[in-house]
Amino acid sequence: MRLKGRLVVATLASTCMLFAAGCGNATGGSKSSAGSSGSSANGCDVKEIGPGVTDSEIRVGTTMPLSGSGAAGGLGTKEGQEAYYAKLNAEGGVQGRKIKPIILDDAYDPSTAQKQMRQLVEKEEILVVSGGEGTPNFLGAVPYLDRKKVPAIAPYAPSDELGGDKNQHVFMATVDYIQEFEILTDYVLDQETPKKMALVGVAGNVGDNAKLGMEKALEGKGIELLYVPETPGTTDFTPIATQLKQFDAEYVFLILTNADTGGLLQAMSRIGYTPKTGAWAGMSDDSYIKEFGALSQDMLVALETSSLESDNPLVKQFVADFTAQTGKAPSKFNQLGWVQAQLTAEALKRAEGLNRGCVVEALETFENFETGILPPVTWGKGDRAGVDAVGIGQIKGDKLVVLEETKSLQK
Amino acid sequence: MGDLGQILLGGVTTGSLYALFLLGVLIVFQVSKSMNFAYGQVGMIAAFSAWFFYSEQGLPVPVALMIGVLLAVIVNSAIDFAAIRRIPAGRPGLDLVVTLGIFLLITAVMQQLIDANAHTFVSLGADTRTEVAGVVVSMSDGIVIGLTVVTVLAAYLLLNRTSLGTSLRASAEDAGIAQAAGVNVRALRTATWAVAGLIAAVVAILVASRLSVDAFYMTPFLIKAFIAGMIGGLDRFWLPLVVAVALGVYESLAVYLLGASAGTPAVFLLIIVVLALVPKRFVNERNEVRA
Repeated sequence: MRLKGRLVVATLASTCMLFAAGCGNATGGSKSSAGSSGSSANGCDVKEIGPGVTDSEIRVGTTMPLSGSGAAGGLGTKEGQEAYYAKLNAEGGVQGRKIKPIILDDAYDPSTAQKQMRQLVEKEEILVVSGGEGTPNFLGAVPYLDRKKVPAIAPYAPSDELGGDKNQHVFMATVDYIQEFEILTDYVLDQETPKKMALVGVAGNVGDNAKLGMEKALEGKGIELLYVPETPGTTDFTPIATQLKQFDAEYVFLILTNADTGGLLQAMSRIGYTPKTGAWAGMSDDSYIKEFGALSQDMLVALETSSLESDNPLVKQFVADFTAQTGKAPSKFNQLGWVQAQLTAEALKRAEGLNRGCVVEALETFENFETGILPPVTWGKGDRAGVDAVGIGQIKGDKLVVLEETKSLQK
Repeated sequence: MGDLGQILLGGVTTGSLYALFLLGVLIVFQVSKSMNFAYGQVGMIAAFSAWFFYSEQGLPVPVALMIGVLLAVIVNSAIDFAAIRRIPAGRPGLDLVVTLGIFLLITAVMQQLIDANAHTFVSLGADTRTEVAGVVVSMSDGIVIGLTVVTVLAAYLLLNRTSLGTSLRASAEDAGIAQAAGVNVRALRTATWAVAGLIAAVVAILVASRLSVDAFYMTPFLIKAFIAGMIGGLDRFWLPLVVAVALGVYESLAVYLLGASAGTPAVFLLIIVVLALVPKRFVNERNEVRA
C-alpha cells in the first residue's frame, strides 16, 4: 500500500507537470538572448545554396501545437499554410522549385518546440522557418534559432520579446500584446471615459504584456485598472468573477484561452455581473464566436487579420483560393497560416540567392507589402516589427462586425 | 459578506464536484485496488460525445446525454476488462502506467473523431438564478450540491446496509475467500467499474454545463480529486469526500485572497503541509483499519 501510494503520488506529480505544459502555461516561455548578430552578419552570397534547397524543392518548416489544449490554433494554421503551398506548387513553385513545408507538433510546450525546431534545422535541414503558432512555445525555440541564424518569417507569437531590437532573425507580422491592448484601450477611450477597467490575463508574459498596453493607454487618464492573472485549467471561476464584480469595472478585457474565456463569462453571468468586454484577437475566430458568441455579445475584439467578409479584393481572392484548395470556408487560423506561407514565399521569390543570408536581405526589402489579410507589412534593416496596427471588431449575434479596419498607434 | 458567501458557495459547489468524482475513484480503488488515470477522460467521452450528438448530429439533448453516459459506462468497464484485470499480480504501479496510456489514447481519439476546440454545453440550470442574502445562487449550484449529497448517501447505504455492499466489501478484502463463499467477484468488479463510469459521466456533464467541453477539460478535476483522495485516504469513505469539498473551498478562498495564479500552488502547498505534519499512521489508513 505504501509503495502504491508513492507510485500514485509520483504519477500524479508527472501528470500535473504534463498538464501544466499541455495547458500552455504562458509563463513558460524562455527569455531570449539579447544582442544577436544582425542580418547583415549573414551576408548574401548569391552563389551559395542554403540547406534544404535542391534543384527541385525548397524545404521550409516550423512547429505548432497540433495536440493538446492549443491544438485548435495549430491545426488551423497548419491547414492554411499547406493550402497556400499546395496552390503555389501547382502554379510552379518558387524559382523553379516546389516548396515542401514540414510542420511538427510542439504541443504548445517551449521545450518540445525547441527540440522539434532542432530536428527541423539539423535533420530536415529547412532553409527558413515558415510561420508558427503560439507564443510560449515559439519563444522556447527562439534562442536556438538565433544561435543558428535561421530566419523565422511571420510566426504568430505576439510578445515584446520579438519584433524589437532583440532576436533579429525573427520577422514579425502581428503586433505584440502591448500594442494590441493599447490600441484596444485607446478605442474604448475614443468612445467613452470609464472610471474603472479590469483585465484578466494568462499569468506571465502574455498577461503582463496586455496589462502594460492598457497601462500605457490609461496613463494620466485617472482610470483605475484591476489586473487579475489567471492560470489555464482553472476549475472554478467564481472567485475571479466575484473579484471583478466587487471592483465594479465598466469594461473587462480578457486575454485567455477560448475555454477559459467562456468559463469566466459563464461565472460572471451566474453571479449577475455583465460588464462590457473586450478581448484579444483570438476571440475573432469563427470557432469562438460559434461556441461562445451568446456569452460574448457586444464584446470588442482586436483584429489581427482582416474580416473574411471584407470587400478588399485581396481578401475575396484569398477566400476563393482557400475554398478551392480545401473545399471549405477559411477560419482565422487558416488565414494566419495562409499569410505566413505567402510572406515566406514572397521572401523566397525576392531572394537573389537561395540561402539564409539572401532571404534575410529579401525580407528587409518589404515595404508596405499588401496581403489583404494583414495590415501592410514593412521590414527593414533592424526593423522586425512588420506591422503596427490592428483592426477593431465587435461580436454581434453570430457575426463579427468590423468597427475599424485598421487602427494604428501612429497618433 | 455577500462576496465571501459567493466565494464559499462557488467553493462548495466545485468541491462537491471533486467529491462526487472522487466517489467513483474510491469505489474502484476499494474493490479492485486499482487507480485509473484515464477516469477524467472517461467522463470527457460522455460530455464531448453528447455535445457532438446534439450539436453536430441534431439528436435531442436527452438522447445525446444518454448515449454519452452509456459510452462512458462501456469504456470504463472495458478499461477494467481489457487492461486492468490482465495485469499480473505483483506488478504494483503497472495500472497507473497502463491507464496513463489510455488517458493519452482517449484524448487523441476524441480529438480526431470530434475536434480540438472548446464548445459550450447545455446550461443545465446555470442560467436560472436567485439571490439569497446577497449571494447569487444558480439552479446549477443546487443541482450539483444536491446530487452529490444524494449520491454519496446512497453509495454509503449501499455499501454498508445491503447484502450487495457486504459482498463488495468481502471481495475487496479477499477476493479468493469471497469467491469461495459464492460471491461472483468478476461480475461485481465489472459492475463497480460500470457504476464508476456512470459517476464520471454525470460529473463531466455537470462540469461541462458550468464551464465548457473539450478533450482536456476534466484533467484538472481528476488531479484535484486524486489530491483529496491522497490526503483523505483511498481506503476510507467519508474523510476523503469531506477533504474534496474542503479542497474546493480552500482553493476558492486562495484564489480570491491571494490571486488567481495562487490557486494551483496553494493546493500543492497543502499536500506538502499535510504530508509533513499529519502522523504517518493517519496517512497509512490500512494500518489504522487493522489497529
